Amino acid sequence: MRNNSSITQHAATCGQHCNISMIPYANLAPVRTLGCPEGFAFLYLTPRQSVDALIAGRVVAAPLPTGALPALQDLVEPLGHYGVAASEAVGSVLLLSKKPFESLHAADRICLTGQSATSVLLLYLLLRQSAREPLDIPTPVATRRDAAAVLLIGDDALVEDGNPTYPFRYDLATLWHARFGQPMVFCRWVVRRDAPTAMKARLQDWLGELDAKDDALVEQSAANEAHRLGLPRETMITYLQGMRRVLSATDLAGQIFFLEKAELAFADYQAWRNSGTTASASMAPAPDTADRLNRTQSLRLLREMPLGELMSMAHAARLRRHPGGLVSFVMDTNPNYTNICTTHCTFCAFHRGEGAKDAYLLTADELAARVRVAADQGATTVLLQGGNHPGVTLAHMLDYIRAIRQACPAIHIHPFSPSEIDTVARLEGKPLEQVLQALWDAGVHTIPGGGAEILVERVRQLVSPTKCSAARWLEVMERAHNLGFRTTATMMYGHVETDEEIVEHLFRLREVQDRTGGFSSFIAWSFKPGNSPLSQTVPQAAHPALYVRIIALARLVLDNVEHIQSSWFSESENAGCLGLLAGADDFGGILVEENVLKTTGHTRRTTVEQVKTLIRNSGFIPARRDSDYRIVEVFD
Amino acid sequence: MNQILAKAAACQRLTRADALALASDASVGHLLALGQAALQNRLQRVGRTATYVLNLAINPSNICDQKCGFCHYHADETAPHAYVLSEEAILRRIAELNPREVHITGGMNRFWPFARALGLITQIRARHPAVYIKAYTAVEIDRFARDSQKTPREILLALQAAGLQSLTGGGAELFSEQMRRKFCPSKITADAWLAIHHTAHALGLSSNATMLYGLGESAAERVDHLLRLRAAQDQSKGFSCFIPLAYQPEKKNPDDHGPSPRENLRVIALSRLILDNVPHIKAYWPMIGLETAAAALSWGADDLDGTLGEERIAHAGAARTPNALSAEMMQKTIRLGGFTPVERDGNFNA
Repeated sequence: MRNNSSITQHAATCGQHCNISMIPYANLAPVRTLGCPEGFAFLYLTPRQSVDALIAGRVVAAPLPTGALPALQDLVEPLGHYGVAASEAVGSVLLLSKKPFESLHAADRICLTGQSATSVLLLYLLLRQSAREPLDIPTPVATRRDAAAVLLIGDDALVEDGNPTYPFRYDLATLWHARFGQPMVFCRWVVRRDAPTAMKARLQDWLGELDAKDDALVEQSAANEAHRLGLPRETMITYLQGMRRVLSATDLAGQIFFLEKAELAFADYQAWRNSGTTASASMAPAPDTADRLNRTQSLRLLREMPLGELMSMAHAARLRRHPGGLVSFVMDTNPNYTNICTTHCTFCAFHRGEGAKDAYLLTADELAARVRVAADQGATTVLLQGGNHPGVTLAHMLDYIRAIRQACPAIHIHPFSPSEIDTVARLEGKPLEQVLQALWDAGVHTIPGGGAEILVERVRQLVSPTKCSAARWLEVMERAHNLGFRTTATMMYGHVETDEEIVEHLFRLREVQDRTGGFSSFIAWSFKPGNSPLSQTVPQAAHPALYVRIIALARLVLDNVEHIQSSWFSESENAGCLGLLAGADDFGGILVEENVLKTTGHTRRTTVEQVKTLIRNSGFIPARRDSDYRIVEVFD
Repeated sequence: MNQILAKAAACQRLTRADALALASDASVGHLLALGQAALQNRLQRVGRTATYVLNLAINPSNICDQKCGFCHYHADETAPHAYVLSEEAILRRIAELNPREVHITGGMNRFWPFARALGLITQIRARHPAVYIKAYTAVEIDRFARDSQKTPREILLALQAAGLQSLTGGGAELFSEQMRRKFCPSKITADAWLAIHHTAHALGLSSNATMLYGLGESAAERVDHLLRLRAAQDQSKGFSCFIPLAYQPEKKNPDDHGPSPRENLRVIALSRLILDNVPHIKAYWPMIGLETAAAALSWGADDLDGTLGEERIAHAGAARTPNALSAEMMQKTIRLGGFTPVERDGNFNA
């Protein structure tokens, strides 16, 4: 394990930014609205990932699930009296059941999937309390199939309304309060004990703003959160007001009561938790395996189903994940620091040999100047990729990042595809982790998913024989996810792949995602023949309707990936708009600078206004996001 | 709403109130529900197939004195892009492509008077006994009649004798008086358009019907247009196919997007569900794009029109589609829509 305190020390001495875990649920929206304190960055993690990130030192502070406090008491200390607590029904932890709570017993199954340990512990303590005999409580399982009850937390619980399969609904905070007369504290803000005192003080001051501002922050954040989840604004305000983020003395006593109860029952709880075949160790919200598509079914959907039916199915899946009608887009810029590349993929018209007249390698300052221009035009994210240039070292990469950060402190840097990371690791003889950790320490926390092409070796041998293998691409991503990076995943289709290989690509992504939960979105585009060598054998671009089918299939197969992109840019405006009706919830970037597709003759420009019009004309509400997929602005 | 959708899915007749209810909800959820009803409906009618035809679109001239507000095709005589094709050029093109169907429509001008229009049909028929000849809109028939002091019936009889088999469906635009006054005040009335098609059907000619949409018309105006066609079809039964025509924005104006894919699918579905007596609904790819055309097969369309040879009218607007397609591309579009492609002749026979 790496040195736990490296980041905090590094940050303290170099003045570089440090990460705070932020849980992306609505209940922390007021704290998000407070904004990140200067010198820090939010890292969006589930409660479970938060715990791991604190242990690994990837974040210095976090809203820690209450259930994890005892285990981490030597590592962290509370940051004042801040957290999330409730006594009344707030809909933050819900149990949906086919039968009354009191009659659930050992023969029943309870579906637990990606929830935090705290909510499961809370459920266990309540079940134990109402059980006639100590061990007569339901068996935990990871699938809804045959489950008598299902546990939902966070936004999933919030948007759940009236599921006829489960007529009995229990708000566990209310049950807890009714049984024991105590409030429930779901999480507590904590900071690593080894953080410098000044840093702790800064964080405490930051949260201290909640004392005076919580009401105003609720008002400010309610509209966006309501939009995001497709709920009325009033519902969101009631929800946010029903919870305390500034904990009272009663809340703090309630927390101690809960932990005492938990301690007494802990050994039983562990045995119970391990008795089911749950995905409790997985950070990813493991979906209902019984409902998951397999490869054969997926191939049939891709090939045979009437397009309208496929679109309807995918849209229904999208609504389950994103019930609001928002479609997001991001203002980005894609400068390429070099067009010199030794990989020579046959689909690429961008790469040049080192001796070519129009070959270039930007200096860090030149690159930063370009990014500055784009930022001045409104770009909030820079997707930075090469070329696999033989002379570009890790140090150069870090220089690029430093220079951009200096020129544009506010821009989100989204750099280096797995292929570049693999190349630099091999050239310098460094393990992948070391390269990734260096990027992490430089403040990078998202990586673009380019270079995936088709993740099947047969295809790669034909179109990108010298690029990293499918297995290596997936390995870079998995290792990055394990360090806390969020990454996108891409696919370039429409060349030599078969339908089976398109399906295989999606399944390989799904398998990694089941383990890591680190892919934030899936982005597909078709091969553009243009001036590339591959155009000799594949002269025609894929049919735009195939794009719509692939988006729909991706939404259905990638049931563990949150965002599916349909871009106005990749194929055509029409295909992009149809993709929004086929399960996509993101419209991609409004490009300030793009070079790679331009060399194939594929140029398209658009404006924010045009993108908003296209989204609205497709029946959705446009919303600008950042590179962490947080909604920044909703355009009603 | 569910009851109306169930009725529509079962190919039953909808009342005006039903139709209005279906046409008035623009939400994405309703669009998908309409699609499911229209898909059931079209599966019962034609199964999992969709047709296309190897055809050639011939637009003899773009010179037109009508100047309809939605048209980017018409040209003044003196305009630099004005053109008049010769019979020789048209016949040469037909001989080169050897299509199964020719589709002829042009502008309203003095260069192609009735005698010439009739002569063209005679010559095509003489050289290509098997080609299906679909030519001229009701607007052109009316013009031929007025210019040559004949009745539309006499014009149609002459054309039929020369080899004409079907009228094209253009010129219907929107039947709404208000929209016609606004966009095409000098065009024949809705009644006159319907009367000419009625006459054609009585003579045994078949014809297409169309509706132009995307001009800011109301749901009621769309519904009433479709209901008037349905009533006409109840009487004369000669419409073989209905083609919704999406307004094409101006090339020059990047902010003019024209109807969105969502809107195009909605209109296709409404057409299929309301026009219960018209055998075929066409997804006209030059105007809605190949991807939307593929999807439209699930929203009730069962025909993709044809390869076209060289289309000029939509492409005078901002249409970004190619102006001719290979049979292979037609088949691919249908397959990606999830259906089985079937090549047909001009009269919808496989």
